[in-house]
Amino acid sequence: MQLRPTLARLAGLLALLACGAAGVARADDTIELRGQYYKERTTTVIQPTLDVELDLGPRATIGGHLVLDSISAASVAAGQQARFTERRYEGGLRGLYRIGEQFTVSLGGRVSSEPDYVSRNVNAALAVELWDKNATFAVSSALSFDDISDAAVPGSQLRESLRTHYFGLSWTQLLGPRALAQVGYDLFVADGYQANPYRQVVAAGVPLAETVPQLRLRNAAYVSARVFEPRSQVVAQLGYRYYFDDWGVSGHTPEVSLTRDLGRDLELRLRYRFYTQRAADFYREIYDRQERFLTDDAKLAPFDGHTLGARATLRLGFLGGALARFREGELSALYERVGQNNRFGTAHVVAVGMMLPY
Amino acid sequence: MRVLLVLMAVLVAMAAGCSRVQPWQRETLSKPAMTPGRGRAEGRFNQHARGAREGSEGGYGEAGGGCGCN
Repeated sequence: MQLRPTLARLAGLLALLACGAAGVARADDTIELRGQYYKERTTTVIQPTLDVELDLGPRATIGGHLVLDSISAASVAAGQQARFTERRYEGGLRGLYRIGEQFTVSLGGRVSSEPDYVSRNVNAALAVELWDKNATFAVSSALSFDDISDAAVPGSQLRESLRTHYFGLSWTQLLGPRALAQVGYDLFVADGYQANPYRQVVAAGVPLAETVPQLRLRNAAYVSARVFEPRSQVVAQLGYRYYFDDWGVSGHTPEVSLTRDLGRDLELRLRYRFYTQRAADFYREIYDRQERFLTDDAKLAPFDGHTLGARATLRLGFLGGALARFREGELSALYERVGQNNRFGTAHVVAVGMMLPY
Repeated sequence: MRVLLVLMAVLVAMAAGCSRVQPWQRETLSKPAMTPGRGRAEGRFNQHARGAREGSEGGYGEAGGGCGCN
């Protein structure tokens, strides 16, 4: 795709950040490598990622990331059982600058390319720290330009676009020496092609292309709290998100995680997340007649999901000798089981990561 | 609008119900597990995977999307 050279340049820039920065390296410079594996009934995703963070002094930080998604799945086209493998490449850069004692500005961008989908995103955020850094108010915005095609179809003809505006507000508040809370609101306005070009829906016995509205207003309000309980030495994180949009989809997402140090260098986190959603107004399991909007998308159907998992993080503070420079690093391993009562079924997620200072 | 009003009420309750924490009282708050936004790569993967499987979006304080996995 035409964005490959851009991604290649991003990769080169990240390599420069990682290698050439050694001469100006500071304590907070980090490189993180991570491998993620997602497996469910019909889909397997392998995703290696690279994140680089470079501290440019007391006021500025820059960073970047590269992602490779290798997705192997059954074809979504009606009636086909063929499997396909597709690769998605993503790269992003971000910069953060502190202005005075209170303000932090961040700017970023990312591009993502796969054979039938190209996305470009620019984003900006401003955070203000208030009351001796007891509270932080943040406002953020982003704009995405996506190009969609049906490149997997011989004689591909579809060329569509999608523009998404994002606007977010959040407030983070210290509640005491051992507790903090956050509330926020995210708004997405998506305008353009939002169907799957390969998905077909059978209406009154006739297979037809999926058709959904061009405009979608998506809202998410969330609240979370982190509390350290000194007797058990456990950090409890509680969260809740309410989602609703003008297609009629709404969802509730409560989540809890418990994190505890086991000894000096090992940290264990247990997490449970429940998700439930209501279907889009125009979603039907069976269409008896042709309607204005037709969809067979499981994401627009009602379903529940349960995610249960654990993550272990080993801090490398025990290293000595020639490896002592990596004492601020860490290794992590994660497993999560995602139960979904829809056609996707149960999913398993495995991830291993390594974060090192340089 | 109702959601925004509820959020505002939570916000006011949060701000009103807490005392000011001094810098020297923040040892516990500096623990990695108490830090929002930690684990950028893990968060990005979760956001991407959920975006491909759930009808909801958002709640992360940043824009998601950017792929054709619908």
